[in-house]
Amino acid sequence: MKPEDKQVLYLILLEIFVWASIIALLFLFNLVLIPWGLNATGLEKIRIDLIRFSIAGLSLVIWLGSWYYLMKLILRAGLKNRQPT
Amino acid sequence: MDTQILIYSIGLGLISFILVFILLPQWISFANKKGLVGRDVHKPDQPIVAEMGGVVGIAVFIFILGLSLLFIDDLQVKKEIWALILGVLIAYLVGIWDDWKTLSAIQKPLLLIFAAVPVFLLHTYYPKPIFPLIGETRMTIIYMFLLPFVVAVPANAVNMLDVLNGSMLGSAIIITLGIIASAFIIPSNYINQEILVLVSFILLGVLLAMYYYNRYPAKVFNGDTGSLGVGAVFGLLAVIGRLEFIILIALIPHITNSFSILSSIKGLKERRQIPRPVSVKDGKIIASDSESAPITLVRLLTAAKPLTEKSIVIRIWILTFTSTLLAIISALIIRWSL
Repeated sequence: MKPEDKQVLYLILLEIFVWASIIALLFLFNLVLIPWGLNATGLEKIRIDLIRFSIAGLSLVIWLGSWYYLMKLILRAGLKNRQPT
Repeated sequence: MDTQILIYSIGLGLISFILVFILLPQWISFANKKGLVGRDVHKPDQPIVAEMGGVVGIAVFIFILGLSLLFIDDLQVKKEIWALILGVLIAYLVGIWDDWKTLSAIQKPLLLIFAAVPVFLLHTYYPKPIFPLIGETRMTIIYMFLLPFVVAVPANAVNMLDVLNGSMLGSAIIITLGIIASAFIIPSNYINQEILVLVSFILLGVLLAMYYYNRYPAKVFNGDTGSLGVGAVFGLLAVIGRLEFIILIALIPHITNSFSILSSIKGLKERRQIPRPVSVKDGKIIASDSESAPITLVRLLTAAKPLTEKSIVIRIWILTFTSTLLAIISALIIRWSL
């Protein structure tokens, strides 16, 4: 495969990663986080909601971080195997 | 879906196409006469090209959308169309201001927040977004906090990818087709199918005619007027049409581009403060190897080998096609999970 086509392939894989990780997170949330403490009330509900939002926030940070890291990797891989004009 | 609405939508889309196709050449000669021109820096001879083609395209879009009010009796649908017209109009005016006087990197997204105000005031939002696997959710409070960004984020993301001839319009055409497909996949009682189909066909007509004049080698640039307007339509359509997740996925290349630029330059900065991500040599675009240069989609695509403008644009379309395909798969999962 030509190096310039490899860059497109890496970016397509990055898009699939971004999409698949959202779907996987939605799957996990649907399976665990959303049903958890559904009937809780008062302080117990606030505690569960706080844990729920912390997990969601942490997943978002990890997800954004890995997205950026992968983009940097794609750039480095391209520049490393740079072809002349 | 009501066949009459579908026929009206296709008809209005055709009228939009014809109007933009006829009026844009008039704008090109007017802009050339008045000096509303810019240099196409990605060509070896750097030709002079007319600017602000979006002035015609988005004006026609707003006019035709206004015309559609004549065929609609439902008060709620009329309110939704008014929210769209006013929202796009605000983005359009911000775009004209930016093309005319150049807004700062902070002013532009801040001003675009106002484009979401009509949606809020006319109460044409539904804080129950639909997600694959989960289905309909209730986000009454979070949705209110996200509302100011519904135009600012997609409008800026689309604007940041309008860097090469036909790149923004080609990808916007692919996304619009994806929106139409998704509007027919998801059951109509969960989304605002009428609005989605009507607005998408009008937008498609405008985009196709604009693309004819903006394709390589461009006779006119869209300007911020065009790209902010198109991005605003996507953002408002996501909220009013209840297709938030689908449009977000279809916009992955645009969001990737703006997210990587903002992360690599660490925030909103003026264009002249940051090194150029690419340069042009012998008619080919070369990625900068400077550590401080922003990571843009074009830089990522040209990192391994310098490419011609045309081949980069085709690669951007391939990426948009992939994300739109993922958006359609998401629509199928939503249909299955409802």
